[in-house]
Amino acid sequence: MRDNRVLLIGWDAADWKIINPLLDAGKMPNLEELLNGGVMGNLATLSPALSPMLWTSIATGKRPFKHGVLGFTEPDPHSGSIRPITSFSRRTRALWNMLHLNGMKSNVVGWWPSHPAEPIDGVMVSNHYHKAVAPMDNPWPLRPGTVHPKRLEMELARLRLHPGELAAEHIAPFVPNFSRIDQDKDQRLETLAKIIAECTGINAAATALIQLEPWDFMAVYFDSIDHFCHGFMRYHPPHMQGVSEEDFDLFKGVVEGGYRYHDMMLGALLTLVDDETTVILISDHGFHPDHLRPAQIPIEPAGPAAQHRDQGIIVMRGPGIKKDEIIHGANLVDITPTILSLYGLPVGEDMDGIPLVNAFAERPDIATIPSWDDLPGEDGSHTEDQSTDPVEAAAAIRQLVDLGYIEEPDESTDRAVRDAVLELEYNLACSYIDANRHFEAVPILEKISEQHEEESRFGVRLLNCYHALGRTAAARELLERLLENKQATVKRARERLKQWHDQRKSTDSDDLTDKERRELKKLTTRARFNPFAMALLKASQLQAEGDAEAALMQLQQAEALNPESVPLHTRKSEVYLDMKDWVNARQSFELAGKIDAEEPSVHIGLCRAHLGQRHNALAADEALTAIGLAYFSPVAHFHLGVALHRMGRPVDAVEALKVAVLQNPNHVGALTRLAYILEKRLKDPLVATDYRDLAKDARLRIRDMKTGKARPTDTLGPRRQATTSDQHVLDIGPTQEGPVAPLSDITTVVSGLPRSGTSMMMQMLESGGISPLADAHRPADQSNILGYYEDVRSKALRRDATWITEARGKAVKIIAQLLANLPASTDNHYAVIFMLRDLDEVIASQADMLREQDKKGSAMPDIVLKSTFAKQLRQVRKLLAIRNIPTLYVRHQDCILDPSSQAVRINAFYGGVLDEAAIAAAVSAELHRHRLPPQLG
Amino acid sequence: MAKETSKNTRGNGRLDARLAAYAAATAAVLSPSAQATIIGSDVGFSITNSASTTSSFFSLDMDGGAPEVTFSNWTTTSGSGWAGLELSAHVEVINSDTFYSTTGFPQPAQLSLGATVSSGKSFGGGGTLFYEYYGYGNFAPGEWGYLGIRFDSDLATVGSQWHYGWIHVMTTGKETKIDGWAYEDSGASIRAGDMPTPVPEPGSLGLLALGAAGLTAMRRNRKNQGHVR
Repeated sequence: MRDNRVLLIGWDAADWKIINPLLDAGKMPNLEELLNGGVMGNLATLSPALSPMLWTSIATGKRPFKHGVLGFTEPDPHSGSIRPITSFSRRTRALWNMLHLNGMKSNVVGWWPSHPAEPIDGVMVSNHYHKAVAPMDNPWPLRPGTVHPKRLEMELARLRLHPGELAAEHIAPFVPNFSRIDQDKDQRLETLAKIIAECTGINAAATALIQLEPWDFMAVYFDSIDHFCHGFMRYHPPHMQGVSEEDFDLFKGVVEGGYRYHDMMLGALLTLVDDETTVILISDHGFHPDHLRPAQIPIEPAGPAAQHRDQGIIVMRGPGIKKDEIIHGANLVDITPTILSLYGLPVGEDMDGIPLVNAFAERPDIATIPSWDDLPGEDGSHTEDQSTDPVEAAAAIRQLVDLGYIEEPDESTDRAVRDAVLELEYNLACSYIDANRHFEAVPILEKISEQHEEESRFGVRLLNCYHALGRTAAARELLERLLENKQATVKRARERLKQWHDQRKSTDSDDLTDKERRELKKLTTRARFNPFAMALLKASQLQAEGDAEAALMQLQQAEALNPESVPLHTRKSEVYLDMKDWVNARQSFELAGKIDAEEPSVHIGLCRAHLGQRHNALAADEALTAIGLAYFSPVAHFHLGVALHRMGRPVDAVEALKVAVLQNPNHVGALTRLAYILEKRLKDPLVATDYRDLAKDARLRIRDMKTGKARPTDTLGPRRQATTSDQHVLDIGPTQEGPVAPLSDITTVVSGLPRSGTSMMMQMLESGGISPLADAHRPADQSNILGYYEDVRSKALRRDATWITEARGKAVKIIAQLLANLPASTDNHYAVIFMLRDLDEVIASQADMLREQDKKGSAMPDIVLKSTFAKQLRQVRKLLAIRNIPTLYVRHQDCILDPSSQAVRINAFYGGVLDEAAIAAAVSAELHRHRLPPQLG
Repeated sequence: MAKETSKNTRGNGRLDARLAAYAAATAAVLSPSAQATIIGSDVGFSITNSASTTSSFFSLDMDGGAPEVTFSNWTTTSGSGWAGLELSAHVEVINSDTFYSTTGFPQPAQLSLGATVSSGKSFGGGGTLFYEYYGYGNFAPGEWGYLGIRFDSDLATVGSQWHYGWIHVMTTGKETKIDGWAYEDSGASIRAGDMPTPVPEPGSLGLLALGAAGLTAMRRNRKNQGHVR
């Protein structure tokens, strides 16, 4: 093991605004000790501030549109429904994979998302480990894939704590008067107990592994502060409007108790590391604890994220780290580059973060490589077959649904999958916007806002993109449409609300089911106009169109509705800036700053107002404050550069302007000023010419973006090793033992991808002496001229497999993707005949069939579909091998070209009891309509 | 590296001063608010005052000065039990409005969980909790209830600094038990049963926070004590 180990501790949602008073009161002594010996600061988050996306950015150094984890849920190709986001969605190497490549050991506990656990050198305990899913005293097995390596499963399972094990003495520190609560009616104590138990389990696993399993890098993630806050922040002092005295009195200490408990757990971890270990404590975002707590949570997926604050925390202590200092400008994407630097490893140039060099006592040597993803070698990640993109896998399944081979999901399941994919797309667009890449966000938002006109959030985001790209006319058109849609939506919702109330005239509101309550809340929200938001949108548009006076009038109307809004005052100030009314601009920004002093846009605005009045030093101050709060801000760096230039500090100005250009290569203002300073002040005309050329290119790019001439170059970043070998697709493998039972006891399953010759094989077997289990549900057609030989129940095998006993002594057709649902029973003597066919032929044939049926299919490019099918086939083959099901692989083309030899193989597989000649004679060359010419096969 | 940019720009003294102020502002985002503190006993202990044929008593000192309350039990020669309390000079308890004709005095009230103990209540002297022979007193025999109490730590000027509190009491007449008490240190009102927020270490929660070792120890302790989880 190395001497310089790193312990990374994650406290989801931890916020200095809560920690600082607790430190002052001596209530977090372990954190106090940690930060006194190291550096501390804000850690800026990314938008959207959704934890699985953020913790993956922390572990990869990349923004979500590069790493691929885009939300809380994803389609589950196995169940056809949705599931919590998994590590399969990650498209790039995480820190532990990079360390594995370098022969280093990592212990990773609870990281979100890390399920299923990756086979890294070290230990991985997934984010499902600590979740109590069974009632007390019921079996509570670990989900498969929770722990790697498996040898630790039993021991780690014992270290979980069930909420039912907690006693009054554990609850009292959080809710001293818990005995006043009627737990039959009030679930909040149960929620609290669950949070305490879960984080205790994570801590127990971490303290065990830190001592017993060797490691170079250890990462422990606690989701619990976020859960304490989402559940109980509204009761946290000061007393929030709308919270009853009773509730405030009961639960006011929960958030504080949660932080103090984490401090105690931190203390336990710190006693287990030596002085040579660098300890890094971080949170992914903060959590509003004060007057900025939202009164209402938006009714939309991930709505509770409105409670998150943009600034998380970072504390770092270790050899070579400064002591008792504050660092500024850190972003969560800087964590992986910083840890790589601590180990002396290179930073990926494709990462969005950089090492936090201002935390180091001496600046480290920092090497770079183009991408960690390009380095060959074993990295402890999931195998290629396992790491199928869940969205792509689900789309491939959709293709089979459209082809009629898998049952159409019920309405609620289908909707759940569509909603999950919609959110993933929306979050992808938001991630682009956060990186100033509005151009890439536009096509995504145009698509989803058109499909979901009733949800204005998509259109509003798109509107912002149009403004950012200077497409004012498109924005005007969209705004009008949004307003019209909103009016129509409100009208419809009000009508439905009236019907809803009419239907339930006699129902007491206390008797409503949860579903009815949700529906009512949704309808009520939709039936409501938000004139404040409308006025802000109109003002933005008017400002973009150059009508400052009209914009101000809209903003005054908005101010009458909500005078305490930061976006209102910043918008107003920006209009004043456009009018060069520096005094009013400054006053408005100062008003916004009084409401939220940590909003970076306020300080950027103040900087601009000061620049207008030639108060250059003050402007530089404000720019630095903004940069300290959010380092990724080309505008702030640009204005800092302008201020420094005017202050006669050209070298410093050039540095700031270079950062602006690095963050936004299309920043014409920064490029031209760089050229000017370099030529006139620093006498470097050659480099100045380079920047002038870059400015010219940027102008052209911007023009193309405005006119719509340019198209986005990429959407979601490429998946590491996106292509997969399909060598196995036609590999019949070694000859296997056939089934060892009388033919009358054998359940023969004919499987393969749809359009790989399964119907032909059913016909061959029927001729040979095994009758099919089939119905007339789908008659013969152009695609299967001899019939489909299928039982309609096989399409719903995921839902119901009880009928499979009827297939004993017969053959039944089940497509490959559903084989995992074959019920396990010693009574079922399965034998599988698995059809193999060239994937290009399969996809071409499926496309023909979809056309004939006028269906859409997966809507994925053929190459992606092919890769996904290949992975699914490989998974199924593994599964058959693991379950020891006798399987005969038969190539479609061999049946066509040489039916006799295949008949021999099939008969041998069954021990020679079938009619070989009849099997061979059943093959009709007519079936082979879709075979491609060899050059395409 | 790019991040040195902001560092270099801080060479200017005025900018450095501004940055120092900014750092201080960040560190002191929110100062702690003054909060009332409840002081009280641990949960779960019990003091029993068993009477003999003569009498027995014990005193309770809540604020670390002189005892506030003395609980007495007495068993008469006929075998009947009496339970009552004597209060020190600077102490009062909430009395019931019910007058017992045999005594002519209000007696300590048996409060329910959550009842408010505040200046608006009727406070007075001590007296009988329960007298088995006559069946009077406000405390139902064998049932736990709360005494509402106030005491003044400033003995010179009684009433200038009342502290409101409660004592959890059960009596049968022959025997009296208390298993908890608390008072509000700031002079604010308190509700019967309200407990102080204990410093969560090194108690039970502290044991859990130790991780694997603490969890194992907790389970072992429970097993040894015969708990079924």
